[in-house]
Amino acid sequence: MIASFLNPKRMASALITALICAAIIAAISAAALVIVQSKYLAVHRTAAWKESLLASEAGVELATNEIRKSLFDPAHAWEDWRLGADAALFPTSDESAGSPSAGAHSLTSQVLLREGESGLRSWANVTVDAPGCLVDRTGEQWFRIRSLGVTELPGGGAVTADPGDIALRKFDLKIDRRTGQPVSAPRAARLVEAIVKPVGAFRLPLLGIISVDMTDHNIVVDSFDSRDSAKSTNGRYDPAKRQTNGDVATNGPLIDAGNAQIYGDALTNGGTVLDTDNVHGEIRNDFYQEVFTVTRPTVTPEPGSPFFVSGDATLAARAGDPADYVLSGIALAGDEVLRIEGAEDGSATYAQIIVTGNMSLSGQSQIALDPSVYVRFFIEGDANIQGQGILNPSSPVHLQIYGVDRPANSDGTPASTGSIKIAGSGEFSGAVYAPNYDVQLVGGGNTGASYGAFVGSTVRITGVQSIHYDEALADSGLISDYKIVSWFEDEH
Amino acid sequence: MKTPTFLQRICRLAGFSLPDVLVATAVMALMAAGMLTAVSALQKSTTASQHHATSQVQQSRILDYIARDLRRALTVVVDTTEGGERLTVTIPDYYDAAGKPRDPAIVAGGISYGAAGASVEISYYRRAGIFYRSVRGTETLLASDVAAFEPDFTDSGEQVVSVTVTFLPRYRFSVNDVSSLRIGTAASATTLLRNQRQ
Repeated sequence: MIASFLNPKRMASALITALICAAIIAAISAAALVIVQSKYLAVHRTAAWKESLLASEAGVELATNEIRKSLFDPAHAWEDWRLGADAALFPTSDESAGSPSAGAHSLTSQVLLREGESGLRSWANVTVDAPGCLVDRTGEQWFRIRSLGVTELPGGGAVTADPGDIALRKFDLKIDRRTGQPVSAPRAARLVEAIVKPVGAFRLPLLGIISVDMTDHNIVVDSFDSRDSAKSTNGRYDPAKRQTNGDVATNGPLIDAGNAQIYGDALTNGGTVLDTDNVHGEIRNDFYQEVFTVTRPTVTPEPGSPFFVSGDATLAARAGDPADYVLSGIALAGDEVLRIEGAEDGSATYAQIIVTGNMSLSGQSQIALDPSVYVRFFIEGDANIQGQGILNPSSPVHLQIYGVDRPANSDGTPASTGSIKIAGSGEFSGAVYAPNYDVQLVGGGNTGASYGAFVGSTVRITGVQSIHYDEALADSGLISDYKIVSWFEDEH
Repeated sequence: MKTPTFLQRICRLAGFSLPDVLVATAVMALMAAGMLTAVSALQKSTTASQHHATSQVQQSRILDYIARDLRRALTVVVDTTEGGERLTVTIPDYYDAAGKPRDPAIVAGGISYGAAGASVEISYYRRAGIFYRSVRGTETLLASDVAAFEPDFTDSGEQVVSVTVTFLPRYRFSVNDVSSLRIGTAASATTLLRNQRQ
């Protein structure tokens, strides 16, 4: 009995028992660790998946900015981008020119390191192209941006998520699921496709870069859409179909609404709007709109075209590319008429008239557009349009007047502002974009309404009249900006 | 007096009196009862924690699905079905029959994929304790353990939609205060409708 009690074999069994207990505890701990590790990875991979969308959207913004640069800083547009694209994703046939119109441009953005959480990396692969299916009816090119946001994943190539999550958050653990190519490290990759369209110069009825002054008259500002029968009648303004996009805005601090009936918003850049009793929309002070440079087009004048128009004359528009005329000035008086002649069959024709000097109409003179003629005037001097004014029988889209930018001071402001004054006795149907000009709409002489949009350094309206903005203008005219009109995330 | 032998001393040390055994038994019983209670509570806590974690994963999944579809939505409608709220969005018909991306087309001043005006309808709703995502009428189960999930869609009518998903934990510290527990487990997300920010 004593021998059994003191048997070394019985004493050794305690060690075995302790080891077994330790193993059980270790197994339980390991099981718990596996569960916790799995959830930890799932959480961080979810974060990486979300971050890849941020990278993707950042890529869209980068591309949109480059497209905008083609307007505001063309010398530096598409720097660091390369022609040609990932053929598997974005096939393109032309890699020879410096614009997306001639081939896809692609960029791999700089790698962004995420602070903490293993210092994971994010970047975007962006491609911009200009497919033929994205040319609108006015011939303007829209652009397609495809941005693949990539974020590396923590935790190696193990699958840890719930099956329900895998269907939502797809990861490239071994291969790129879109191309089938191996990936160097597990990653989350999300693809966004955005479509960017050009925006015309006439996005607002009244825009004064410095100020808008409605001089205390009973002006009505509203809108219609000549393209939409629900918002116009036969393409013309109909008071019964009035729309409320008659916005009045300034990049400066002051709008004097003058108790005008504004069926839209009154917008300033950190300023105030005076006499707002009849503003039917919002009054905000957070407005700013970029102003693009209006340059004189480089054109070859039509053979035999006049140098200066000072009497009855006819300038012919033509189908397709516009007929170009370069005039040193236009001075009409008495009952003189400058006719812009269109096609006999009424089909659309185009003309571009550059006036390097002044334009003036007085007496009963007028500039008359044939129906279906589209005319763009580029004025380098001043314009004083009185007499019977410019007769445009079509929608405001057909008549566009641009004030070419004037010499600037060192701070970018114009050394001297020009003047465009519209005071004809007839109805004015057209649009004016002249950010370096003081634009005046004068009543009394112009007893009718004005249809269109007016952009000037200052915009001043005197006399009783109404301004009806044609919303079709927003999609016409020189391109002043680009905006995203379609956004889609590829879930595959 | 006779001195006890070595064997007698060993036998005396190895023995327990009846009171010793009774006390030891009582102590062991108390300890066992405590252990059982602790283990039971631990098991409940573990189960509740796992349920909570699972519910949060499902909650996050639902919000991420909805946010993705809202970002690319063309239209958004909130109505009710079977007593619960239903969110219905339409998205561009981006994929062809083979699942490949289509080329975009300009239609009426906007962008269209596929036939003019074509779109894909997606709905989110809860029915009989299951939360579904329905694409063109084909339901996909997103979360099965959702007896207490309560989606709340707030369409401001402008450019954002707010979504709140609440679940009721199974553990209850107070059966009379269910609402406060729901507040504690609600997750919300506000999504900008990218296609309506023009």
